[in-house]
Amino acid sequence: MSGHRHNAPESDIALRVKAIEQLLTEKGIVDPAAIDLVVDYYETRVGPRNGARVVARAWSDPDYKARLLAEATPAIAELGFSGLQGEDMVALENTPEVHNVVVCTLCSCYPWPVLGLPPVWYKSPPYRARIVREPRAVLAEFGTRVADDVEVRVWDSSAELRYMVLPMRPAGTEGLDEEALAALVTRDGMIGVTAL
Amino acid sequence: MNTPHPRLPADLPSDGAGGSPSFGEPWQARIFALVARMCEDGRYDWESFKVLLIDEIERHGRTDSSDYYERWLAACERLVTGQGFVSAADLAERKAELAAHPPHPTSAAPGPIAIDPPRRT
Repeated sequence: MSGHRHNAPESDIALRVKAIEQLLTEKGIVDPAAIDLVVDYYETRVGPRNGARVVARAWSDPDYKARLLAEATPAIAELGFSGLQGEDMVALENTPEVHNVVVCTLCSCYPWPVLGLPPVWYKSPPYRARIVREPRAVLAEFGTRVADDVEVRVWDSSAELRYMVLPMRPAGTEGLDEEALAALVTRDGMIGVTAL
Repeated sequence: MNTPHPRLPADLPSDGAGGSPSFGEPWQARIFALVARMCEDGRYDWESFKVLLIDEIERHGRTDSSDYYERWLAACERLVTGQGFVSAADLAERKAELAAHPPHPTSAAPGPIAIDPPRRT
């Protein structure tokens, strides 16, 4: 049974992480149980579903949408979503004339409370560079064809401002309630690399 | 469905709602959470970590996103030493100790760890 090994030597990098955590724990700077909670929180409880509920509410409630577009952070907090990296949110509305897409050109600034942790490609240097230089081409690689007469706006998230896209409501969804609408909203739609 | 493309060195998500894994290995989640927790606890200002992370990413500009959390770890090491929480020497020493004394050492011979023999009545 070679596939069952507890005792594979730990990688150099895993040992570095362990050393940091142990020393900070011994000095009382961190609590391992609190770190467990953070891991659990980001892996299972926050994520794109939070953002999807924000979008569904905005599609359903014009007053909420107006609040979201005017000042996103308190509007998002109305639904109970706030916290680290979600303090300075801006919602960008996609329209028939404008398609918005979000990047962090320097690192990986991303609105954790509404979208969870960023996907692998969001952190990749090619995405970070190319979405600025040739957004239509990159969007096409995501399967998103933006019509020539639509303006594409690329937004650079930072530590100060974090963007999420309010996608256009898909046609034929007039009869759906918020829960059904939220199920249509994807993470990539809220980053702006896909349309819904 | 999204269309993967060779120029994006990424496992593009196959579903829209969060398909691609954020953490490839447990240590990535650990170091992410440790940095996040210390910030939430007010141990340091987020900006001071971000500057270090950007610097680490820029210094390894040619790499792909698979080593993103290695940059995160390097930035964290600089953060905790720069803030005076621990010294670089202590980190190196602890790492060496951990490497020398794995918590679950390799057993000499493969085999069952315990055997509960058949019962005869």
